[in-house]
Amino acid sequence: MSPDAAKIRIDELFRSKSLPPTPLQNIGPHIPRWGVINTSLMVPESVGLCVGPAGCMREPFFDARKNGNGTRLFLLPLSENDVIMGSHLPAVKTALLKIAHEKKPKAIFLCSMCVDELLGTDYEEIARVVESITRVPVIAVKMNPVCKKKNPSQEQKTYSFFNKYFHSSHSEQATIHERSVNILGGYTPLSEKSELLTQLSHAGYPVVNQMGEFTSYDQFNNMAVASHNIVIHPRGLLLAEEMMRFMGIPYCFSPVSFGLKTIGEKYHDLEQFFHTKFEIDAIRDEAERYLQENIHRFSGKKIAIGSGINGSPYELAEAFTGYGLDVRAVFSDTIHDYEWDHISSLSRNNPGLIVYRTSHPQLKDSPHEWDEIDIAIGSDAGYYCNHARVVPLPFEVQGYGYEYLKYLISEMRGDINPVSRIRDDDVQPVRENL
Amino acid sequence: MKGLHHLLPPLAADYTGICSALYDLDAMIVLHNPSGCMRTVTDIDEPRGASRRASFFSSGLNESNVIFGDDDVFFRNIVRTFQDTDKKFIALVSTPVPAIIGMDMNDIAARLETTLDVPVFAFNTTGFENYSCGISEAYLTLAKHYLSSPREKIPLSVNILGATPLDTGSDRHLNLLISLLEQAGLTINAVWTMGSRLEDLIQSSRAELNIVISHTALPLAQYMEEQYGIPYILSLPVGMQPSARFFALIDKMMPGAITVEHWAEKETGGPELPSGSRALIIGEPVMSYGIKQCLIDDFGVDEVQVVSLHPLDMIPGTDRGSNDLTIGKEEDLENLIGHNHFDIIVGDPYFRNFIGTKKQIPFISLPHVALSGSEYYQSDYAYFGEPGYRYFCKSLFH
Repeated sequence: MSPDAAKIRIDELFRSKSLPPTPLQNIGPHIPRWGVINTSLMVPESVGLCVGPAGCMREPFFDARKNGNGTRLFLLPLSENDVIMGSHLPAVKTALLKIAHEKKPKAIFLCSMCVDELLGTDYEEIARVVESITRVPVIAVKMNPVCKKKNPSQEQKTYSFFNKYFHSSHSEQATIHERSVNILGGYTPLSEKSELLTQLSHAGYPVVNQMGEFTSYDQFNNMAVASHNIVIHPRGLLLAEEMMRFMGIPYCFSPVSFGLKTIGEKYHDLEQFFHTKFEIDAIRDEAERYLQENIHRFSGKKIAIGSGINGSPYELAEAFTGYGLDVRAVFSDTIHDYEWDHISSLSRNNPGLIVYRTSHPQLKDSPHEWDEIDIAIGSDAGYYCNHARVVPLPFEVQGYGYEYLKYLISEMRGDINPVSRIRDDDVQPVRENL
Repeated sequence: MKGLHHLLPPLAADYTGICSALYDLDAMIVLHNPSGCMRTVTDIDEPRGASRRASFFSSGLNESNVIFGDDDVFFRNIVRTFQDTDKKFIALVSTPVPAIIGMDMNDIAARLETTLDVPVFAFNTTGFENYSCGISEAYLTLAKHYLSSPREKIPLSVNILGATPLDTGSDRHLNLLISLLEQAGLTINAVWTMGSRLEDLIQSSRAELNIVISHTALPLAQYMEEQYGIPYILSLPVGMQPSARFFALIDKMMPGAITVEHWAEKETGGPELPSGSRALIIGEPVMSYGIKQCLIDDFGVDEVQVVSLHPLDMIPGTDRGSNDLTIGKEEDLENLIGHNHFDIIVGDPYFRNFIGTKKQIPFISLPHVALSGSEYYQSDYAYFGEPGYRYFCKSLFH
């Protein structure tokens, strides 16, 4: 099968403003995701209860287990009759009360599935009732891919669930921490030595709260009284907007980037946001030198970039094109608003670049389409480019700024140089030996 | 299993059972779903996915399709995609959302069949039931459509019914069974449904005997017995002496088919457990009763209790023990293990979590993909024949 229907030149994409349509989809492990459950379980000392058809329960169970969160998740499979008749709600309430009583969590998230979304089941009310009985915050969240086409995206909506925790905490805490910053949009925290954290500290913002770094619920709730939000990935945008609307915390959208010029622009945006001047020139010069020393290694190599990277594949393609590298393919399923500027640039500077719709079913039957690709960045690109060396750059690795560019180059070289923090209490998935 | 889950996931869903049963048959398998259900199949339940890339498709059902009942969009998308493929049939597999809104998959299937002139099967699965229903339904649907009365039987031929990774594990286990049967002089006609092609399955009614290795294939075996007069046995050759019994049973069904060396009982000469030993087996019922026989015959276990993940109705009463039961809730299993003495527990590695830290009970891991997904799929274990005996021996005495 030819993948013609699944691909589009970048200049044509810029003109048409839409990716090739997918009559049916090929959804599989090649399309990376973090998931509602692991996002929700980023709240320390919380537990989760998923309710829905048994078939829908396996994904959250294995997601949580994979990230070492299995002990904090409960599942309540429902019968079809109960869901249709609405008679499952007492069982959900009983389960929540039992969990609250036995596990004594600081918070509970109650996760419902597509079927309850369509039936309009009022889990907010159950959450309210249980919260009033137990005095434990109960947050209703949704794992409902049936609504995935809505704007904001499912990923943004999931991330914005945190606002529900912050909102009540914000009301309870009297004082705003004037010089503290939240970094939103990431799943794992930046390294303590991160250049962004260092710059913020030098600028008088020593307290930086990051998703995924807290071990206690109280620490986590400090995010509700921060003075500034930085959004490093668009998935954090909705949360930032809601925190601005309901708590008055301003935000700056400054997404992870790989182009030297773009990184410089993002730091400039942050300088304006914080009314300060970062001491970033030496770091930029060092990154530029590192790039010049190493970029020739990839000269003549054909590169594909996927959307499974922790960043924008279009921005990265633009950056690499600017560095003189031969970017042949981008794999993508969605385009964020801010990426159109990068697509515009690519349509001028690398118009022959082909964008493949990652979930298009024709791709999986075209195994030789990418035989010439030497380096695939992102696991989705790696899935299709069978002969390429794969550089995953997964969501679990969080970097920012010039050091993230250096990290990527070192990964492409095969070096190991961690940029994101590994917490002491990070638990590896349980893997019993047989 | 009902009630609150904490240590165990629910078993793989009915739609997963359909996908697993049809995986090797060169079909276009379309899940009518919002994409999440397909992830469960491809990411968790289908361990062969990465190597063979079966033709699974998701309809990408969204809220607007549901509200406006866009069946025609679904229909057109399948037509458009099928025309670019070279598949032998189409399977439309329903999931919770179409089930809850009562979408008529049969109508779409009928229209597709007319338009494309290819067999199209509608599976009205719901996601509320487990894989067992899905596999059984897939088998019966294929049998009713493709099988016909044979002109002649193939002498000494057997079908293996009930092989899917969800119950059987990787194909190396199945290959071992096939090898045992072939060494005994039998011809494998078709395997429902691992490894065999659709063309092989169509010849199934020519076999002299069906060997059922999972409860999921019992409805198929009963159908083939009624329609084509093919008898069946419900048995697994786990370990040494049960393998001899297994071949003796085949010889009884097909007199003279098996030479005496294969069914004569053999002394293992290996170690046995002390008198009074009690074992607990948790798992798929046909497999569990195969293991039970092995523990009793090969290792001298006195008492074996089976806790089945599925109803035990179909298991012959002679095999069932008075304490055997179908698992109800997680807490029931916790109570059973916590309040009773067992010298051995056999089951999927996930059941190890029920033992707790206070008890030191030898645990024999037999991964069950329908429960723990692909995580232990490639693990080093065996259950058929002598390799199975060696694995149990090693697990019990080393």
